[in-house]
Amino acid sequence: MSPLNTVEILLAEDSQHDAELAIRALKKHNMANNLVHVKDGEEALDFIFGRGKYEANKGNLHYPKVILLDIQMPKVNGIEVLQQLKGNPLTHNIPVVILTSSKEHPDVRLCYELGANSYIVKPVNFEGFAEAIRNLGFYWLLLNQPPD
Amino acid sequence: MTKFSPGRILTIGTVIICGTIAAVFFISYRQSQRVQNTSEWVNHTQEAIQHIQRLVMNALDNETGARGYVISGKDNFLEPLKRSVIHFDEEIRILDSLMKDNPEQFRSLDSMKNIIGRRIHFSDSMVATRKLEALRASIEMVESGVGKRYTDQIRELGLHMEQVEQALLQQRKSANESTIRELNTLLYTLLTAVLLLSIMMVRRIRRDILQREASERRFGALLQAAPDATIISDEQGKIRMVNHQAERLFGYNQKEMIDQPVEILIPASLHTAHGHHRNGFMKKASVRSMGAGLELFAVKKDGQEFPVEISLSPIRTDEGLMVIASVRDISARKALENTLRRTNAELEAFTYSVSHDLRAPLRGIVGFTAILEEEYGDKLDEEGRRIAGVIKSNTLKMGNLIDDLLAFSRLGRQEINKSQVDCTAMVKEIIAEMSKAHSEIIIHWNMGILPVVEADPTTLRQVWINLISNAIKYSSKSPSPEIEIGAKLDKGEQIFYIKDNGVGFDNKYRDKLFRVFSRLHSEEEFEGTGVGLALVDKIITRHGGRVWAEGKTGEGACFYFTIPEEVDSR
Repeated sequence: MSPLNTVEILLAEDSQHDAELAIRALKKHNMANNLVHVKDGEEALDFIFGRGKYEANKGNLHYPKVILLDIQMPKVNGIEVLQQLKGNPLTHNIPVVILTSSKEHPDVRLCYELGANSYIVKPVNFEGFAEAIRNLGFYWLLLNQPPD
Repeated sequence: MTKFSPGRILTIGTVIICGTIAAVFFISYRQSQRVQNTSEWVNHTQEAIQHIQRLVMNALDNETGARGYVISGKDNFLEPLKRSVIHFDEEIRILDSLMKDNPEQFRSLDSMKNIIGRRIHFSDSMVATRKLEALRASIEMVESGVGKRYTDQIRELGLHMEQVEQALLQQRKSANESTIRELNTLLYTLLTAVLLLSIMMVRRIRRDILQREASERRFGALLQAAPDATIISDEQGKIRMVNHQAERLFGYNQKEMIDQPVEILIPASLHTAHGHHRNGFMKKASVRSMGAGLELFAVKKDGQEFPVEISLSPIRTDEGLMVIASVRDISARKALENTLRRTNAELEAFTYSVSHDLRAPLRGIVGFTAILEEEYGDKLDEEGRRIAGVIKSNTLKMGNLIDDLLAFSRLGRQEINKSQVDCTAMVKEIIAEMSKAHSEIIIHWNMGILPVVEADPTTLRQVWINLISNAIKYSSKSPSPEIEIGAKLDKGEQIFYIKDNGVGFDNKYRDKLFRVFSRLHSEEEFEGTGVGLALVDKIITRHGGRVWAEGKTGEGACFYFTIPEEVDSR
């Protein structure tokens, strides 16, 4: 198992309520222990690359095991975050799961082309959402071991 | 006759007329020869007759001379006697040459010579006897009648020869006359034929000219009546004909366009490309629209460029290959298209916002109500828990409504990509999925073989899903639900149908079935948003097909749709 201070999930989500629901769903399955929630794309990038208010982490960077990324976010949106992560050799191996309101969203295809590993449709139905989060969390955290 | 062109008729007719006239010339020449020939013969005969008569006269002179001398003993009677002998020689020589080509007359002439010889000899003997003073003996010689007999013989033979000569002339004349008559008949026939042929040719050519003029007038009228600006150009790309619409569209008058290169109507930047295209078209001319899929532009006299749509058709004429170009100004359409594009983009943005922003609060309502139920359920009484349930189900329904509405609006803009779809496989797969999802309902499926159709697989799948799930939903309350899916051919049209034995509907409302949000059952009876069949209708319509339904309350429903075969409209 990872050390306690290792961040396992980075959740980038601007909607406070959606984030709360996602965290609750993960908590239910004991997967929210090492979760960091950031409110926009800029903060997500700052966290990962140790910039801005996360500058203190700089010498001691460790990447999350999975990133749950909302597409529609203020400042830097999910697509730009994805582009930067997948375009950087240091971070392009981190699995990124896109959170989207609708699977019909035109950006979903673009995200896959940019290298997104998976996506979750945020259904209106909370149970459905919790179930999807649980499945993906299991897969990316437990089953899918990233290359060392 | 009709299969020959006027030019061909003219050539053939001219050859025939020239030939006939040559024949007429030849025949006339032959005829004049004949006439000349005949008159020569007439002369010949007359000459011969004249000389025969002279011969006979000479014989009389000979006899008279000799007799005179015998009676008178005077020498002056010997003079005509001598002359007659000389004349005999002359006449015989002439007749010899005139009759050498006629054996019969020649033989008669021989006899004549013989008798004349005797006549001369007898006269000479009479003269000699008288000279010997034997008057008596010489008178006896006269009285003997021998000399007279010779003369009579000569006269008779001369008469005979005359008759033969006359008969010959008659024979030749009549032979000649009948030939001339025949030739004349032939001549008149030929001249009449030439005359008739000429009349026919003139009439035919006149008719052709009139027809051509009429067709040119018709063509001109058609050209002017064409709704689009029409320009006819030749192989070299020179403008040959234009209509009023073209004058109006391009701002040139007809005179300014005729004989000018078509390039005057094309923006300068496209001239090179147009030249290449024109050569290509001339090599492989066919009816088609120009620059399919390209934006075409034309230029007016004042230099203003505007978007156009052009269709080309080649026509073969006496003057070579021509091209009819119909030019349509599509500025207004382009402007509309741009507006439509903008509207679509706005709609897209709106859809996006509905999809994302409208769903987020719903998610909050459902999520937090669920948390309320889970974490505070023990603090609520039964009514409180029921109300929480109502909040959730209503919110979920709104979510479904938004999803369906989005799917419906998206379909209007989504492209239909057709390929071969095996409906049997598709429907079997859907039935398997649905049976799993609705395992609580036992349905008796009755499915035939469905044909392969040319359709967009994604949307056609949606059609089957919606119709099959409807059938399941509305038959789920029957004691033994039965669903039949099949296809039948009706007047060359492939009709698919799906029939259930569920609650059915009142047939008078069947048109309402396919309207958005229009439902025939209450939400309590059967849940639903009223979008499913509207979606089916839209998909089938976009495939060019039809969809309809038949039903009876309590006795099930049957839905039909058609997918027409691909007809290549290009």
